[in-house]
Amino acid sequence: MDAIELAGAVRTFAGGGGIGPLDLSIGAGEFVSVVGPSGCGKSLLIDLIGGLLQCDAGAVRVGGTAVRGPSVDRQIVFQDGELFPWLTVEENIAYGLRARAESPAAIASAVETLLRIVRLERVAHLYPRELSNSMRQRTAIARALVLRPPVLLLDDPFAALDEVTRLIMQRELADLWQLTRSTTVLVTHSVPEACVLADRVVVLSAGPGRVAEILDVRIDRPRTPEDVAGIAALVGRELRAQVYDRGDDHESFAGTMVHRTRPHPLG
Amino acid sequence: MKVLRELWFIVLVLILWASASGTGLVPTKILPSPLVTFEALRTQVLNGSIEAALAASAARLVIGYLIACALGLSFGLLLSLTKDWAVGVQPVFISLLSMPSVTFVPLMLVWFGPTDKCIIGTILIHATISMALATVDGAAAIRSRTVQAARVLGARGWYLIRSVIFPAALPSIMSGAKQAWAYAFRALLSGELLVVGTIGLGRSLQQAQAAADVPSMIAVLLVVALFSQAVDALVFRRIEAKAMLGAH
Repeated sequence: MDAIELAGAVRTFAGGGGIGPLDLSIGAGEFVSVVGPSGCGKSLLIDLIGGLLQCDAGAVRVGGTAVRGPSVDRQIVFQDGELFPWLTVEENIAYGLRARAESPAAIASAVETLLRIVRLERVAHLYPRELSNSMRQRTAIARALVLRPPVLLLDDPFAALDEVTRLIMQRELADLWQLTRSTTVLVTHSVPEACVLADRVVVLSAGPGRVAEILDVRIDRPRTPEDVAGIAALVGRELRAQVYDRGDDHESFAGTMVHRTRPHPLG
Repeated sequence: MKVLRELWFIVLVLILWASASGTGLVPTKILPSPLVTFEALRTQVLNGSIEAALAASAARLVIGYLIACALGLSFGLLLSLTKDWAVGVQPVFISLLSMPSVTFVPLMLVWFGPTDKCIIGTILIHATISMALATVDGAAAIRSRTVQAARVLGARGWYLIRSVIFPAALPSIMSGAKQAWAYAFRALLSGELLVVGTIGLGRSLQQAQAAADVPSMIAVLLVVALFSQAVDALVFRRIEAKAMLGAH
């Protein structure tokens, strides 16, 4: 399990948006949730740690070494799963093992174990389009976990699920994390989800996102949303503060309106 | 009803054809009646000339087409790996593709003489380019998230191409393959019409024209049309149906 360290990490885009400067230390084996206003660059944080994007300034280190690109040691579960539609569930899960040319027997047994853990044995031969949203995300999680990654990055993986399924998947994820103890970063829109799962909840400010607040969740697992209601209320208050209590938000809203009413160049 | 919907136009054309030539509205020297045409076809089938021509043409077409597909696919994949450099190639390819394939026949004749190679060479140009362009387009349309997901899972180099780029680009590659077949077929007949000294469907057409044998000409045209239909129904539609299974 590797520790994650962001030191003054900045990433901006020509078209606006971005993140940082951002300082954050995540301990080896820790589970950290990240919440923040829309557009604060939460997902960008995943891309930076995952090595899919590089910072403009500052550094991202995992296990003491600077992140320069994607690695099998830092698995990402994307928001919509990003399963390969031309592969079946078990082929999707086996993908990373095949990429590193493991023996067919080793692949088969690893895939079988994962299928059992995420309860997808019965749909192993189906294609992603034949699955429900939650099955797809379970496949995506299994595809990442089969590689036993020291770091697991989850980019709002349950966003497309209904409330009840979401609770079930949270419980499953919590169990999986107890099993693997990967250093885990979960980006989410749901404050209760962030609190149920994490050791610490990081609240980012409105974009470009910086760390506004870090709250510890010192509650024994397994947890229910009721168990974390208190801390969730605190996180929610902090999040609302980031959204509403900043004067410049109104300015940027007004800016949008002005932009919209500008005459169309061809009009 | 279904059969009627599918065949009414062919039946209508046959009726119009028969009545135009049967009533003397059009001189039979210009448009022989269907009966005379089918008689000419029967003669060619019985003496084996049309089969020989078809076999020779099909062999050239298949060889040229398969080489073109392999070349176009490899070149297309290579180009997509060097994304920024494809801009130097695409305009040239597109302008070559817009030239009729018949314009390359004289050059091929000089290079290869009146041989199979000459005709296959003519086939290669357009079919290869069409395939390469479709591959580049297909690869360019792959979402970067898909490739990122594969890279995170450890895919590199050839494995990445084989396991993600190729299947993700497959729908575009398939339509490119179909278009390449159409180009190859056109090139084949242009080549055969101009290249003396070979046998083939184009040559049969040319000989019928030289002998002012209109029924044989139309008979060959019918064989060309049927062949093209058969390949479409037996090969391309089946592959397409299969490719759809793996798609989104």
